[in-house]
Amino acid sequence: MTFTLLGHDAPSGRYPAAVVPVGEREGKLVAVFSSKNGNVIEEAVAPEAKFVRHQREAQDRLRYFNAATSALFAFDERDVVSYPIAGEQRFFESLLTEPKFEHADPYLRLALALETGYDDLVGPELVRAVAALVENARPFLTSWYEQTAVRLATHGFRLADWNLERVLLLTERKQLPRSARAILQESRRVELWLATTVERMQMVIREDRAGDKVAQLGELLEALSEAQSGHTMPWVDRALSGAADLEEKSARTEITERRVPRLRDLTRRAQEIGTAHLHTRRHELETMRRNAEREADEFERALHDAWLADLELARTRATKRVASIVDDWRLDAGAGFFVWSREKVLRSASQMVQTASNAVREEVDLFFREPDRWRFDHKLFPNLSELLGQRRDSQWYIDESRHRFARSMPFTEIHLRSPIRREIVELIEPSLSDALLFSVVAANTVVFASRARIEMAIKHALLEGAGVTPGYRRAIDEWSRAAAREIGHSIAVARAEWQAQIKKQDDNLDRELLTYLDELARIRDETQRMRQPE
Amino acid sequence: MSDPSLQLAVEHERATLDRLPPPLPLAHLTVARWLTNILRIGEIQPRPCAVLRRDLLYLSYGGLFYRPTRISTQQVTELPIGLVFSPEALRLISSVFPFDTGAMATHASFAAWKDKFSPFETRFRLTTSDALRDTPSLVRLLYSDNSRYLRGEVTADAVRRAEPLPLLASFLGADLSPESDHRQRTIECVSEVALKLGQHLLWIGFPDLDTARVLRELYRWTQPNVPEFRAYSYHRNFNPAEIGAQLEAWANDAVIRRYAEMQP
Repeated sequence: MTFTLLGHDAPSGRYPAAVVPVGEREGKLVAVFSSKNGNVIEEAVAPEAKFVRHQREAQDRLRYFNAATSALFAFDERDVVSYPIAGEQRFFESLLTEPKFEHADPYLRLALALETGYDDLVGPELVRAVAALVENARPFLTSWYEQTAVRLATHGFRLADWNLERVLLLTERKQLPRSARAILQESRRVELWLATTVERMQMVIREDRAGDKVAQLGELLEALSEAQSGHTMPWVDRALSGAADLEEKSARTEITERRVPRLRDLTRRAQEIGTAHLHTRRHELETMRRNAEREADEFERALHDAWLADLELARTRATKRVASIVDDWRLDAGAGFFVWSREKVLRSASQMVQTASNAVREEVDLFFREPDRWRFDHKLFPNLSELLGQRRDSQWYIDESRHRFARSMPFTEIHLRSPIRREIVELIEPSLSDALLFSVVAANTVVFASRARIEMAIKHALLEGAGVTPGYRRAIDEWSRAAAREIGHSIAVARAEWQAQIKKQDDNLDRELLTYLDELARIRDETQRMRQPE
Repeated sequence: MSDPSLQLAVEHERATLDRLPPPLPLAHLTVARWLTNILRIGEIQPRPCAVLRRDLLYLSYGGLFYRPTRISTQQVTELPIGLVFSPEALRLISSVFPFDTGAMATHASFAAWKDKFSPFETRFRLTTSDALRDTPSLVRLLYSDNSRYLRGEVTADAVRRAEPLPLLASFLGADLSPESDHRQRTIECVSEVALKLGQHLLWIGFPDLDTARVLRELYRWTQPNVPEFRAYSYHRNFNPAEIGAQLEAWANDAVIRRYAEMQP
């Protein structure tokens, strides 16, 4: 049984957000969830449960939503888009550059950026998230910093790759004590050290490049620690922890011992914290690495399975669609067109023949009923007059036309010598021409319309497939070529059928015309016989 | 003569208990849609309970055990919010149950036991004015210590205690898997009054959405204390049950384990 998407639910209670698809399967209301292991789970929900029902526009837009391979993202209750889970990274990447998503929650943007795996997308979102936290919830900064470092590590990034310390410093500069601010302003070098990462600071300290500025650095660190009113700043601890790793007694240590006694206590405490953190973090990272490897394997398998399933589904769907369109085309361009055109032509021809026959009969009748009038008014009937008066010509015409028809020459090429025949043909010919012209135009219209529909179907399949995997593109190309071959074949078959029908039609017309000519000859004979004195 | 109650059994056995395990933190599960209101008023308030037919606040003892029945709303789905409170919050608890009453009332796999325990709402309710003492007593009687309670291992001594403790022990020790879950062996603490974030909150887990504002609002009530927190990513339609299981593990690692490892 198929899944029918009815709407969605935003469990966070806010937009923009990832939302849960809600639909119907086997008559039951179900919600669709993504499992961390890559599976898709459908859970039955109460029929009266609340969710956002999609309007017709959204229903139309999401009519090809596949619950097994796609997910939904909503900008608001009405503006909902679907994307293939396998192409999630690309979707998030485009979402982050979407103007209407520019001012979205920085933490949601950061989560999406991490999923893309691009550091140039992660960096700006990290800065926004840190800035918002410093402004609103500074006491939680340490904990957030540690959590974020772990999250970044699970996505293959290092927090130290971004200058978050600079963000902290620049954001907090107004609250620095005057002495620290003075150092920052007076010494370009010190500012430079503080503006780079903790690792860079450690490197500078290790190489003793700090020289006579180390004292100022020590003072600044102490001032910063005091400025935090007891809240330890993580980067201070880490910097000191790194400094404490030095084995030799550097100039930094000497100056520290001489001028900043408190720094030693801070260093020892930081070293203890650092060692404990290092141990825990190493264990966590090892666990995360193992989990990541296992998840990667599982994801790879799931992706492969999903890809195969999608491929099969899309192939079946595209094949059905192309077959359906080709059938439609055959129906429209084949049966409908030929039936219509044949009837039209035959009807026109038949009417013309009938009209001509009637005219001849009326004229003959008049001739017998009112011979005088006919004689005097014969100018009103120049055709029959001439016809009846030129037996030899008529006989020639009959012989000639029979001869030419016998050679299957088109009747339009017959050089009519009889005016009435010319008139009849002139009457028939435009109708036939119109009918044929109209038929050709109709056929072309149907062909072009069908082609446009087929091209749209192929484009749709291409768009649908291109979002999933490059394998789709190849598959779609193959289907397109196969569809083009099939369409070409269908056109050739239809054209052959059309030509056969035209020929058959011509033959029928020829037969009818011959019949008419026979009848006309019979009428002449009869007329001639009647004119002879008894 | 009515069946013996848990209340009488605990009072009867209390004199025999030597050292009680240290009290554990209390945990509460709510939903993201209600977080704004909770942060606005700074407390978790009792809600109407269909089982006991009163406004009550349910907390699980020693762990954030995900229970969909506890957070069921009218919506199709909800994102869980985990809150862990200091054991001091036990002072607000007025009743304790040795299992999840919601699961006992509705869970199909508990049906046979529900009949045996009838009426479980009164027979297995431990009314208390000192949950800081009575809840660890219950752990001692049924599981011996905190570690065994958190692992769900019922002590063999329980069958030698006063009724209905042996009956309760057979239920807690019964293998009702796979239909059953941790709710079978969760001590449920019930409060009739609101629980203030500012006084007892130790840890909060929530979706990583509008995080700075959530933490700012939280700090309004908890300052100068800075509770620990965990913000989880919600960038796809992840299963709330899986998120709930993660919250349980994170809360355990961040807070509960420290208490569980304390020796009496």
